[in-house]
Amino acid sequence: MLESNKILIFNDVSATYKNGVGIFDISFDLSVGEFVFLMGPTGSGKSTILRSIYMDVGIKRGKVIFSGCDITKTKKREIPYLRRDIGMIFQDYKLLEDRTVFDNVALPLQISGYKSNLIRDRVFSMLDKVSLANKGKQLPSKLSGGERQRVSIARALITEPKLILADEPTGNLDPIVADEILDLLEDTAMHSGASVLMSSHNFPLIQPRKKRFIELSDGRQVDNDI
Amino acid sequence: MISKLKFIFFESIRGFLYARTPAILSSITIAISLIVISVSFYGYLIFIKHSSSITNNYKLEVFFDSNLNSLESQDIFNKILTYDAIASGEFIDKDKSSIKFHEFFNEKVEDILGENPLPYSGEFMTNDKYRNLDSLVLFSNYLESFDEIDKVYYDKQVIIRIYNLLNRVMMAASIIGFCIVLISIILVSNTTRLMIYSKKENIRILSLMGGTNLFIRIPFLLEGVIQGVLGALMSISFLFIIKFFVEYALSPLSLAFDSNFQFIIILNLGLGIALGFIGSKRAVKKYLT
Repeated sequence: MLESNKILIFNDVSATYKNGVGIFDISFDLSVGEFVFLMGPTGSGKSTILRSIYMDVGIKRGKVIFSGCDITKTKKREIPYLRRDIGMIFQDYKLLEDRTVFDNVALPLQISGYKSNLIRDRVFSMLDKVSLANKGKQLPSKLSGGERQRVSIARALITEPKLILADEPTGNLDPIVADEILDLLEDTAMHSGASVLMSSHNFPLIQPRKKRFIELSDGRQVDNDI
Repeated sequence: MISKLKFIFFESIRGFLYARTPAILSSITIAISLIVISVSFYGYLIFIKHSSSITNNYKLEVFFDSNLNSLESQDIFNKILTYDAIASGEFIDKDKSSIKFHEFFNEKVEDILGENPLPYSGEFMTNDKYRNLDSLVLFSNYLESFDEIDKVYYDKQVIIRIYNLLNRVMMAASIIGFCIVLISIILVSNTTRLMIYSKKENIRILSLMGGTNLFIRIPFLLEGVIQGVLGALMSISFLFIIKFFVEYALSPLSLAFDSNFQFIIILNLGLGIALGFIGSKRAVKKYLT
C-alpha cells in the first residue's frame, strides 16, 4: 500500500459526524509536490476530508497514510505534532485578530519552539515572498481579504510542511483576487516542494488550472482523475 | 524554547489586560481572603504571646509522696527538672511550705496541728512549647503515674477557658476565611471562564497550528497566578499600612508583627498564587476540553 512518492493515501475512508453525515468510502492519493483539487457543492464532504487529515474528525473506517504513517492510529496527545507537519489555509483565514501580521506568521514556529532569531529571519523572508514585507506590523483587521489570505498562506508555508490543506481559500474573495491567491499558492507550494490538497466549489476558477481534481457529492466520490 | 515561553508569558499578560475589570475584581477578592487569613494569623500570634505571659497559669505544683524524706524528694525534683517540658523549678521543703501556708491562711500550720504535715513539693515552670492544654494534661498525667508523686496541680480551668475562647475565635475566623477563599476561587474561575469563551477562536487556531493542550492551557493558568500575585500585593500593602498604624498606636502588639511580617509576606504570596492557580485550574479543567 505504501508508495515512496505518495505523501497522502486515502484508502476506503469513512468519517461521520454525530448526525450521520460525513464522507464514505473515499480512496485517492496525492504524490509528493502534487496539487490536487477537491471539488463539489457545499455539504459534499470536501472539508470533512481535510478535517479527517488533521484529525479534527474521527475516522470510522479505512486508512489514511500521511508521509508513510497510518494517522488513524494516532493517539490524541500526538495530534498536535501531526498538525505541525501540515500547513492549513482556511476560507475565514483563522488569523489571530489581536496579533500583528508578523506574529500570525510566526505562530507555528513559536508553537514548535524555534529560536527567536530564526523565527524573525524566516518570517521576514516569507512575508517578502507573499508581497507583504511592509505589512508585518499591521493587524489583520487593517488588511484586505486578499492580503489576509496571503498572511494565511505565509503562515501555512512558514514551517516548510510536506502537505498543505486549503479549505476554500478563495471562497471569500472576488474572482480576480481569488485567481491571484491561487497563483500565489501554486507558486509558493511548487517552490517549497509541498503537496497541496485544496477544496473548492468554484469550478470556473480551477478548471483552467489543468490540475487533477477529485469530485465529491453527498460525501461520496463521484469521479476521479478528470 | 525561549520564544515558546515568551509567547506563553505574553499571552497570559495579554489575557489579563484584555479582561482587566473581572481580573482586578478577582484580585481584590483574593486580597480580602489573604487579609482575613493574615489578620487571623496575627490575632493567633498575639493571643498566644499574651496568654503565654500569664505565666502562673502554666505553673505546675507537684506534691511528692508524704513518705519521702528530704533527700528522696530532692532526687525526684531533680529528675523532673531534666524533662524538656520544664524550664525551671523551685524545691519547696517543709519550712517553705509552712511559710507559704502562713502567707495564704495567715496562720501557722504548726499552731493549728501541733506539727508540720505538709509534704515536700516542687514548683515547675513549663517551657513555651508546652504551654498548651493538651501538653499540660499529658505531662501532669505522666508525672502522677510516678509512685513518688502524690498530686500535680495547675490552673486547669483558666487554661481551658483561654483555649475555648481561642478555639471559638479560630473557628469563626476559619469559617469566614473558608467562605472568602471559596468566593475568590469561584471569582478567579469565572474570570478564566470568561477569558476562555472570549478567546475560543484563538484557542481553536492555536490547536489547529499544532499547539498542545499544555501550550494552550498554561496562559490561562498563568493569568490566574497573576491575579493571585496582584491580590497578594494588595493584601501585603494593606497589612503594611495596618502594621504601620499598630506600631504607633498599639505598640505592645507590634512585636508580633515585627517578628512575623516577613513570614506574612511569603504566606500572602504563596496563598495568593495558590488561590489564583486553583481558580484558573478549575475553569480550565471544566471549560477547556
